[in-house]
Amino acid sequence: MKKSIFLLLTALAFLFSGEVRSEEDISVLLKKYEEEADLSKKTKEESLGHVIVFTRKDLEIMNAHTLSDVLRLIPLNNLLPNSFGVETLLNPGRPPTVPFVYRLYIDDHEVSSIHTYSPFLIYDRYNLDNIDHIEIYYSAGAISVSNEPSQMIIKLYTKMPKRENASKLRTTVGTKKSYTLSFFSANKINDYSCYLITFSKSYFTFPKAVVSGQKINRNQIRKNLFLKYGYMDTLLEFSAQDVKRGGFMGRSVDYAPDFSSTYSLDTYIVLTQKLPDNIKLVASYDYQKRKYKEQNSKSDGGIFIPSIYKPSNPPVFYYEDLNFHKLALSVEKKFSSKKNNLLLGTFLRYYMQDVSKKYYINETGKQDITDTAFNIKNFYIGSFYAENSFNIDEKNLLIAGIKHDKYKFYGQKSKNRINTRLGFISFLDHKLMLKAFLAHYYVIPAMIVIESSKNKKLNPMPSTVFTGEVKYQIGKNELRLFYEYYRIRDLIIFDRTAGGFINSDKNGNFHGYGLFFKRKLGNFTNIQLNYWITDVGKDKFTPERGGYLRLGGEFDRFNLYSEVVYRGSYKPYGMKIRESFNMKLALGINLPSDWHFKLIGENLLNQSEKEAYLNMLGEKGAFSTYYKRIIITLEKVF
Amino acid sequence: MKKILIVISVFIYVLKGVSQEIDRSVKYEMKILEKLVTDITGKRYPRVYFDGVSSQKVTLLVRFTTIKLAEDMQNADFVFIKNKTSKFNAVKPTIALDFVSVKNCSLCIGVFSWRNGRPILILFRENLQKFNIILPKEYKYYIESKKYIVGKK
Repeated sequence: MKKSIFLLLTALAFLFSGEVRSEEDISVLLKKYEEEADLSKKTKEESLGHVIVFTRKDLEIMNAHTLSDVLRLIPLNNLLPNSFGVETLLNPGRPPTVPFVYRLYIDDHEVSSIHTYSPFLIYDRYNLDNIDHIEIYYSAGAISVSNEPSQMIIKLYTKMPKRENASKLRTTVGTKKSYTLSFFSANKINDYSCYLITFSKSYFTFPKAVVSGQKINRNQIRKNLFLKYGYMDTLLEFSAQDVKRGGFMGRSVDYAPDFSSTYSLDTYIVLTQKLPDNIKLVASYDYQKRKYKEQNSKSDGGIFIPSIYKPSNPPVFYYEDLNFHKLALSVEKKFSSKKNNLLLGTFLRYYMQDVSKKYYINETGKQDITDTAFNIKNFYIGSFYAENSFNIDEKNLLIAGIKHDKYKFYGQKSKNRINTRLGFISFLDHKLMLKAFLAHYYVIPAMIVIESSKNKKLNPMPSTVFTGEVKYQIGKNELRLFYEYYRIRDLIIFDRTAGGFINSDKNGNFHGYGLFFKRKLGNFTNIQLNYWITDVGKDKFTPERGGYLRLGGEFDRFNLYSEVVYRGSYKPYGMKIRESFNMKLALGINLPSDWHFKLIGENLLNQSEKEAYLNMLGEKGAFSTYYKRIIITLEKVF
Repeated sequence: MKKILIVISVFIYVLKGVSQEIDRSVKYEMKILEKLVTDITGKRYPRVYFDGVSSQKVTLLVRFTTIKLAEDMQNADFVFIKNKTSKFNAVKPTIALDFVSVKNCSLCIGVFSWRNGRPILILFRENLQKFNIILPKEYKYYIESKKYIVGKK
C-alpha cells in the first residue's frame, strides 16, 4: 500500500514538475511569449473592481465548453436552477428566483435580458467556442460601465481573428443524451480587416426532479450564431441565440406543471468605433423574444399569476408571447496625463415591449389579456458618468467616480439618482497589494418585477457596499483575502398577502469573506484553492459557504484538469441539506494532424449541488441538480 | 572619470525607461526572432532583410536585439517576410511571419505566426536541407515536412 502511494506521488511530482529547460530554450520562450501575450493582460481593468480571470489557457485546460462550466466556480455565489429551470447565479442565502444584479457582456455589448435584467435565461449554457477569455468583476456600483447599477459584471471577450487563422469543427457527446455540434472560423483577411464566425447546436439534459409526485424537466436545446467583422478601428458584431427549454416548476401552485416550456431568443447588432483622441463609441440594437406556455390542473392548484389568480377558479393554462427591443448608445473619452486618468462617458438606452399574445384558460373559458394585462411598454435610462484615477505616487492609486442616472418607466414620472464610488489601490511593495472600494448606488428594479408589483411601481433599492482585498505574492505562490459588506435598504420582496412585489421597510445586511490560494507549478500548470463564507445563516434558501480545489496543467500533448466544487450544508424550510462536492476530471490529448480528443467526467462523486423547495401547498423536498456524466469531444482544426 | 560614470548612469536610466515601456509579450517575440536568426545563421550579429514587416517591429528588433538591418536581400544573412500576396523567391534563408506569405514562398524555411490562439513555429525539413541548415536539438519538435502546412492555410 505504502509503495503504491509512493509510486503515485512520484508520478504526480514528475507530471507537475515539468522538464527542466534553459531560460533561452525555444520551447520555454514560446510558452512565455504565449503567456505574456494573453489577451486578458490587455483587457483587464483593475479599477473596475476585484477581478477573477479565466484565461484562454485556463478555459482550454478546464475543457470549458459552456458558460456554466465557469459560473459554477465563482466564489461567494451559488449557481442553481431557478424555478424556470435556468441555471442562475444567486447571492448566498437567496431563493432561486430571477436575479437582477448580474450583468453579462460579450465584448462591448451588454446582453442581459431586457425584461428581467438577468442574462442567464439565454446565456447560462452559452457556447464558448468564440470566447477567448472571461473576466469576472466584483464591481458593485461600478461607475465606468454603460449599464444600470449592478453587483457583478461578467465580461466575455471574443477571440482575436488575427491570432486564429484557423477553422474548427467540434462534436461533443455525453451520456444522458447531451450533444453539441459546433463550427468556428476566424481569419485575418489583410492587415486592416478580419472576420470571425461561429454557429452551433446543443442539447443539454438534466436530472428530472420529482415534485408532488410528478417529474419536471429543464432540458434545453439551443442554437447559436455569432459573426464579427473588424476593419481598422471599427468592429461590427451580430449575434443570434435561441433556447427552448422545459419550464421546470414554472408558476404552478404545486411547483409541478403538467406541461411547461420557454422559448427565448436574443439577437443583436453592435457597432464599436474607436475614434481619435481616445474616444470610443458603441451603438447597438437588440431584439429579444420570449414565449412561455404552462399547463397545470385545478386539482393541483392551477397556475399562480399574481394579478389574476383566484383559488376558486385558477388559471389552468397560461400562454404569453412577448417582444422586446433595446436601442443603446454610449460614448466615452479618456483624458490621460502622467499622474491622472479621467474617463468621461454617457449612455442612453431605450427599451420597448410589445405583447403579441397573452391569455389564460380557467373554468370560465379562454381569457385574452393581450391588451388588458399591465405591462411596461417602454423604459429609458440616460446616464452621465465621470471617473478619475489619480496616481498619488508610483505605488498608490486613488479612484473616485460619480454617475447620474435619469430613468423613466412607462406610466411613471422620471427619476434621478446619483451613484458614487471611491476606490484605492496600493502596491505596498512588489509582493503586496491592497485594493478597496466603497460604493453607494441604486439598484433599479427590472420591468418584470414592476409588472408583478402590487402598485405597478417600485422604488430602486439604495445599496452601500464596501469591498476589500489583500493580495500577497511570494515566488510561485499567491494568497488573496477578500472581504465584502452589503447594506441594502427598502428591500423589494414578494408579499403573498398583497399578491405582488412591494418595497418593504426591511434592510438587508450581508458580510462575505473569501480566501484564495494559487501556486504556479509550471507554465500553465496551477493548483488553486478557494474557501468562502458569509453570515447569512444556514436556515436560508441556498448555501452560505463554499469553495473549490482546482488542479490542472499542460504537459506536452496532454491537458489534465481536476476540480472539486464544494457547497456547505444548509437548512432551508427546516430540512437538512447535506454539503455537496461536485467533482470534474478532464483529459485532453492533442493528436497528429490537428485532431483533439477530450474526455470529461462530470459530477463523478454523484454529490452535486442540491436544491430545496416548498410549494404553495406546503409540500417540501429537495433534488439533485446535475447528472453524473461522461462527455467525449472530438475537434478538428483546419 | 566622474563624467563618464554620470553619462553611463544616464544612458542606463534612459535605456531602462525605454525598455520598461515595451510590452513584455513584444520582448519575448523579439527574443524568439533573434534566437531563430542567430541559431540558423550561426552568426552573433546577423544582417537581416525585412520585406512587408511593419517598420515599428523592424525598429524594435534593430534597437533591442543583435540583429543588424540589411539594405537589400543580396547583402543579408537572413530574411523575414510578411503580407506577400504574390510569389516570393527566397534566395536566402527566409521565415514567413504569416500564413499568406508562406503559401507564396516555396523556398521559405519556415513560418512563425499565430494559429488557433497560440504562437506557432514550423520549420520545413526539405527547405532546411536545401540551405544546409543544421539546427540545435531543441528545435526537433518544430521541424516538420512542408506537406504539413501546404493546403492548410
